[in-house]
Amino acid sequence: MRIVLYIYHFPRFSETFIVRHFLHLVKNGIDVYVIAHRTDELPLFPELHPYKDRIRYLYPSRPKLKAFFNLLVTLIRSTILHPVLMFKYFKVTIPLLGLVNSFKKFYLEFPIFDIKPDIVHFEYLTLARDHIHLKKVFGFKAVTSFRGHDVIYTGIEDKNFYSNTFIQLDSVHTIGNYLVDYAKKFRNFQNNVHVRKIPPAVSCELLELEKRYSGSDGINEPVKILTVGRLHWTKGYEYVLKALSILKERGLKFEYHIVGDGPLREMIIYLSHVLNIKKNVIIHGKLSFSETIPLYLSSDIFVIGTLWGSLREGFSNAVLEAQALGLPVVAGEYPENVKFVQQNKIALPVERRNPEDIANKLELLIKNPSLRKEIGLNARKFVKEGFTLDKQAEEFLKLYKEVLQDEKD
Amino acid sequence: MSVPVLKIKIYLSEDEELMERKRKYIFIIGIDWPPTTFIMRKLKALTESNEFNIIAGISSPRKRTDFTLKFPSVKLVKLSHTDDPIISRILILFINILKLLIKSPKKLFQLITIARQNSGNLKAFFNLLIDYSTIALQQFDIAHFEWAISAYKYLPLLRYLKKPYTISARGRQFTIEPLINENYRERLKEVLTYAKAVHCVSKSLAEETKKIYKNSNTVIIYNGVDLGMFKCNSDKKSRGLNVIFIGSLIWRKSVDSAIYIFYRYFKLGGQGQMFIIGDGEEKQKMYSTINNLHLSDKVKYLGKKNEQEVAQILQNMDVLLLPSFAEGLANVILEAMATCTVPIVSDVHGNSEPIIHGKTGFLFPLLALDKPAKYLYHLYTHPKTLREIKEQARKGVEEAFTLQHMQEGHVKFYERLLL
Repeated sequence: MRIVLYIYHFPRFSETFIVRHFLHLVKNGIDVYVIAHRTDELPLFPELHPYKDRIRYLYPSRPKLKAFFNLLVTLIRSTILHPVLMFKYFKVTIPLLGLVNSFKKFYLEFPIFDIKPDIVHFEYLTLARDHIHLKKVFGFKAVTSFRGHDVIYTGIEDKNFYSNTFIQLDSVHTIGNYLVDYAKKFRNFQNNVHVRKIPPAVSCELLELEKRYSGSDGINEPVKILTVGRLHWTKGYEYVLKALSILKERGLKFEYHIVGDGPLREMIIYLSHVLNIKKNVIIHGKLSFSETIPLYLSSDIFVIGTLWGSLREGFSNAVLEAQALGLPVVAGEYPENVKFVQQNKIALPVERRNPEDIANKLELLIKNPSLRKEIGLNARKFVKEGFTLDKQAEEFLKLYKEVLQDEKD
Repeated sequence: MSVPVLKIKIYLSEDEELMERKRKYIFIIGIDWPPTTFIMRKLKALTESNEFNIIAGISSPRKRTDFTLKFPSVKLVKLSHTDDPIISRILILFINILKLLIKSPKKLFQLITIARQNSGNLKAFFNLLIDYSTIALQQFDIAHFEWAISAYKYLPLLRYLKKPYTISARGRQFTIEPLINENYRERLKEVLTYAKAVHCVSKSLAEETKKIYKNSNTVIIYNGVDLGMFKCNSDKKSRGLNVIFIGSLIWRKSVDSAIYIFYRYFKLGGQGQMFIIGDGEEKQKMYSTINNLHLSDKVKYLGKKNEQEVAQILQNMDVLLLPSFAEGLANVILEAMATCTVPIVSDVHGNSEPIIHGKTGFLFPLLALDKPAKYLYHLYTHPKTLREIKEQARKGVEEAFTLQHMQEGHVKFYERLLL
């Protein structure tokens, strides 16, 4: 079984789960390759260095002159080494893209010619959309992942944005059922595609770290509240900031730490000013995961205003990491899962976009250090039982085997 | 050395000649052409007063500039833009240099020195020299900057030319930027320090201006609505409320909150439809929010619309919902009131100035989203109150926010400074 993981940037700190996934496959004897855009973060992942030959980067498209010569070289090379594939490639792509774009695309997709995979796993649905035509050339099985933004809003103006992609997929991996429901309702996703839910996961090493719980109650001592996430509209920071201003009006003491960077930095600074919580808000910017761990360990509460995601299904990597490290989480949840989350006390679910509700839940945790500890420990257990990287990797292996099995059947 | 230049102008009557000589020249530096609606209205008011001539310093790229659009008593002068063809920029600079060499070589060398001192690199120097030489070749009595911070790069030139200037205080340049960028705040303070007067579009912006430089000479001139275009429609009939959001789809307008307010209104038992007009980077957020809140059949996105289309659409609306995080004073509030559409808006900066809470509209604290939902529901369940507020809203605009009020305000502003 030869697998290609198709991804935008590899490796990246924010997508360490894909690095782990790749390493797990290699260590299980799978013939796996990565095709990605270049990244400058490779030196920071020493564990990948023995497998550098399995990571193929796209040729650079700039400077243009260099790209043109590279194109000539790739054309000559593939004429000699892969004449049939090359012919098939242009037969498929020219009617789709036109002659010039077809050559441009060929240049960018050339790395796959040397690999000839059995399965290509497009790590994002948008990648599948851009490269699904390769399936007709190489005859591989196509798998993609539903991870959030690609399903929820990319190309949302057009209901059929992914229609052509969906009909060519052999299997879909989703991190949560809510994404499949959404895709069916708003993205024209059909029932006949095989779907496997594999939730996001955290490293087991995190579960070894010990968290000390503070007794701060927000009256004598400030409580430390943390968010880790891109400063992007998807994260609903405005609602969290408003909730914090309500807490301040109620006389509670807190510090709010934000780890992340992004286009809404100015909104966060502005709202901190006008909501009168400027002195309470500390923006750390983008930090590596190892730099973030001390913040997770020293914080009392993790809050995130993300506009979708399910606590029951493993909300996101940042939330799972917080839970693995024993932090109680305040975040949104779908109505059908609220009861489960409340009964098992793995987090405090809130109504999304509702600052009053977020403030009430935060206040409950701020005033009850013992509740923080109880929810934190439950969350840790919940993650340990269902969201570890080892378990995730096993699930992926099953998915790939199923896809190939279908072909034999 | 300077060479005298002979200019001959023929006047049809003595009165006309007298009037022309009396007219003062206002150089509005750094606007697009065609300009935005409110600048267009201002130009119209100033030129029709027969007291002023306008020089429009156009800073939009050449390819986006419509030179065929002419306005009586408005002279168009093209300033540099980095997207303009390099050849055209070189040509302009060459002609300017020639003219200055003939008129006053000393001035040319002074301009070169000032431009060099105020530019970090050769490219910036080149562009600055085009602008400096273009401006220095014009005869004007006062300069004006519609976007206050753009005055900063011209301060050395205006000091050298000993020309006074005024600025307009609008929206995010005064409400957001000074809070998030210390360097910007310092620059703005310098601009305010030397400005002869500051035109503010709301009292709140005048206060913000004085927070940055307390001795600013602020003058409040509200934007005005064309009551002929924005009219009420008494025939409007619908079962529930017709609610509208109008604004750029950007974070400070918070279309997401508007949709959520409408969702809460529905949860309370309200009925009706919501419409969204605007465009911007948060369009995908808007769509995903509509989907996530299961409002696809109740919320309609209408895209971007021009002023006339907005005026027509507003006539069929009951409520304008505007939960912005920052506004100087949103024009759309005045336009809505003029069309008998009840504004329910966040109480930020100047938004509260045209609204008497509960009488001509409703105000709610920033991001307190349960309140506007309740106001909507109240209007839905009390049709008589809705009717009364609609009528009062129109009256509120008629009293102080008409085109005429605004035009008189601008004329008086310059009369006080120049005549």
